[in-house]
Amino acid sequence: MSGAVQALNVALPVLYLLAALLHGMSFGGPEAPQPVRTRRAVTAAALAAHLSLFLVHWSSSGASPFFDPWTTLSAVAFALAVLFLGTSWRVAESGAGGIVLGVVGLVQCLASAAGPMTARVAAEPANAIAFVHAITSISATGALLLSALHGTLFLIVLSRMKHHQFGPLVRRLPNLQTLARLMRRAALAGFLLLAAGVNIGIGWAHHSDAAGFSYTDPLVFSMIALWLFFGVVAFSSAIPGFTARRASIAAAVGGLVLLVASIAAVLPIASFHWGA
Amino acid sequence: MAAKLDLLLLGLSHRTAAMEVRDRVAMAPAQVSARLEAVASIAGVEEAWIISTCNRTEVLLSLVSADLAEEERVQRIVTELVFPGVPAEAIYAYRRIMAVMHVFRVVSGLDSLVLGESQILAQVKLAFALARKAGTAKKLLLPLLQQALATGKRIRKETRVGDGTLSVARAGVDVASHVFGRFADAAALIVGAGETGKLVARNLAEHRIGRLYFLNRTLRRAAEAALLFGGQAARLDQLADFVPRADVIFACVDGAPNLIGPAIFDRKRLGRRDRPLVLVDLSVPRAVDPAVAALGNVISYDLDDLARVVDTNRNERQRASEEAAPILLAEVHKFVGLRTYASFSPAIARMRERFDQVREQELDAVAGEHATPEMIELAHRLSRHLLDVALDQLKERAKEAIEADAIGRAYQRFLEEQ
Repeated sequence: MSGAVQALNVALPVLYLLAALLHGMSFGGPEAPQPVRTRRAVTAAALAAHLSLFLVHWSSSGASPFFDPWTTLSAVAFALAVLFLGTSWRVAESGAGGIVLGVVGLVQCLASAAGPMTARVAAEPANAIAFVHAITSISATGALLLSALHGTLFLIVLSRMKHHQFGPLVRRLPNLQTLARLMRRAALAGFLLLAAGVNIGIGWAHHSDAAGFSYTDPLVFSMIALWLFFGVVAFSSAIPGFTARRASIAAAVGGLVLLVASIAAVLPIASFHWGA
Repeated sequence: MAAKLDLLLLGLSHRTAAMEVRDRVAMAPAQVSARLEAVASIAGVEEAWIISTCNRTEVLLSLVSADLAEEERVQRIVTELVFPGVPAEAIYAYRRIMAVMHVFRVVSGLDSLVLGESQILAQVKLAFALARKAGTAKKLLLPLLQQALATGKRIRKETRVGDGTLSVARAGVDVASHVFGRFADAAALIVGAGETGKLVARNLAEHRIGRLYFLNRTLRRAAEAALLFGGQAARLDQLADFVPRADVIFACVDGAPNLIGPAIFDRKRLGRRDRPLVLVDLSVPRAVDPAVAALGNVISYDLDDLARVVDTNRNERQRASEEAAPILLAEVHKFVGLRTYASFSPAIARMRERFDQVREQELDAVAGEHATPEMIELAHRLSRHLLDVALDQLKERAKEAIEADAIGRAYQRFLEEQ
């Protein structure tokens, strides 16, 4: 089983980066080939391999794979890819696919390289509430990262347009209105998922763990702060003066904080959610 | 045995004739129909097709014979009939496979004044319909024009020869579309209801713009434009009232330098807009003060910016037109192959007849009146299969009758002669 885990760990970043490269070919302009079928096949293969990794890992460890920090990071990458392809399929064929899947590939690269996947499996077997908490929190993290990525793309396209540069980025990426809509939708999805994840987590912590729920847990604190932050981003169109540009800046900053918090959570530093 | 392609194409276009000459010979559809009948009635002409647009008038003829003297006689009569008084150097003539290549290029937009323009497809379709109605496009011109239309569509689908606009008015709308995507929930203000303003309005209407406002020095022209495209009209002195309602402003007013300055905008309101305000200045001299670009939440473009977009598009179309050549040659090859096969028709009919005769003779000789239904069925199936094998061989021969390389060389010569 560990051989299969190792093989999938090596294959996943390669598959995602290959899918990103194939999607990114649309930046090449009219002369570049557009292997639509190949890129769809590679993307589907990456998602299938990723799902297989979780199943293999789950069956080999006997515990939920999402209590292993590096697998959790890998699951965030998976959630980001699934949410992007699921909610933004209209723009996935554009250059946005190349950028988002590239980020997915890099996050997965980090998760694969920094493993080992079986190192820190939680001692207690997974229970249903904990599993739902993990799934919703991970999906929320993916959605918020997606919102941040759409926000970043918005800022890039806007900056290019302000400077009268109509290169491949402006031509191949979605228009500003679409990017703003996708950024807010992803923020809303992340907000709702995180609301569910945090509340389920609070309930689970009170029932199962002696330590219980604590706001001093750095991950809990940062996630609740980000939940409020992205809630504002999600409803920013109803807030006077909170323009799409400002919301995009907020989403991009929020995404950066989220990434730092997520990576900090998996580093072996003292008491960051999983710590002693 | 090569295909019989006794084709002669005579014409003039933007490449060879000045606008006034093109205007003089241009024909309305009703005139085309009458002229088709006249041309088709010339002795030696089997079929005829005429296309007449503002940029070209061409006559394509299928001749009875390939005799050179006969061809020259027909050419003289048709020239007098369709191009009276036009200098000889303005008229071009293409024969046989060169005529096929020219028609395929025309339909694909590769010979158009605006490279890759798509209007020519509709114009060829109309001309084709007129020739069919007049009964002057039949066994050679019918399949030729059908395949030319299919080639035009294929080239547009498989290459980017028609992508990216070459008009600054359209480029302005395209640039704004990078902000709005669909214009359905956007409002556009067009300052100046002249030709450029109307061109912009037409493009916006194609994009299903949500609301349109026209401002003009004279209310009458603004009202005419509003009536034509749907929208609201007002005088130019009401500019300050309409600016806050717009998501995109097109300035198409000449002789009004810096008409739209920073003072006209409410900065607080501008800062509260979710989407940036887009300003497209198509005026000479510029009607939008350059200082406006420095305002927050505003994206401003002038003619120079749009000219760069158009130049990029033109270069991309040029590159795409080179990609179109192999497709065009493959389609010409296919057409020639099909015509060659079609030229075997009489031989095929005779062969079929002979196969039937031989089958019946052999059946009589072997079984006579005692032939069972199974024997008859077997004999029929055998002769049918043998005929199919022979026809397959013929098809292969038809394809090989003219080599793809030879067509490529002919196309190279054709381009060099242009």
